[in-house]
Amino acid sequence: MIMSEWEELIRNKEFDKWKPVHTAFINAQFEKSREFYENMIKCGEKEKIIKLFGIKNKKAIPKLFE
Amino acid sequence: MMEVKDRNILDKFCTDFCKIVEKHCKYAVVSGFVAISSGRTRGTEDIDIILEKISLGIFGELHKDLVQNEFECIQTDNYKEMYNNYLKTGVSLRYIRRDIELPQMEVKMSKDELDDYQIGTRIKLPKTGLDVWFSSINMNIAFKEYNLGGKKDFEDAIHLRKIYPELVDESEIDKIRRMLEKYRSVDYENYKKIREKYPLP
Repeated sequence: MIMSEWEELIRNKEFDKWKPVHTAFINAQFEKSREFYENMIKCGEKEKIIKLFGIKNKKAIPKLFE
Repeated sequence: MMEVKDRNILDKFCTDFCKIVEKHCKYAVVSGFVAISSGRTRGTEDIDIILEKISLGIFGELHKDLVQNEFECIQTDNYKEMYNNYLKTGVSLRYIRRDIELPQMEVKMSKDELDDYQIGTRIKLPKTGLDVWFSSINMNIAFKEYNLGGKKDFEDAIHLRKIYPELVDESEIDKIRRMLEKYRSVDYENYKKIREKYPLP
């Protein structure tokens, strides 16, 4: 079985080598998307976010209903 | 066990949510997050979880506990509506941390023998560093190769085969494939087509 260096690190449980890189990758996506939605709110586009996520429970994201 | 600082947003969301669910019923985390928590470098907006079949009363307690811990369902705040109109009918509920749109936990309740089997064969995966119950590697491979069948799914399956060769059991995957035929659907044409592009490692 041909394995990449990345796959070997995970398979060998070398957390200190693969996890920080993976965490930065995953977190960057959420941080960027949250930044984008905050901008949409600042631009008065709360309705679009409500529609996008199908939010019917106002208690879920109160900032969108203020 | 992984140091807390290395946990990403999805890890923390999943472990916090599952710690609460575990007090009330059995569960299994399924689908994309199994591969992602095993080092697959792709994103997801949500994590999928199946709960064992529970009563309205138990679900009510679970939901109350989730809300007390700042999780909310985006569709409704009425737990009876959640249970009767969503969980019982096979439609998923979506939970978030209060006031934070993403990530989301997509919650379903076991609806057939295949779902029961997913929960019955759940495992913990030390290589993820997470103290969470996942559906088995064989279950994930079978679903991804035979039922979901997209490019991303095949790549997830190959990743799982490479990371967990010691857990891969082709006869078990075959057994699950037959259950998928009975309870879901299997697209063999698609399987053959994509298998040519993504041969077994």
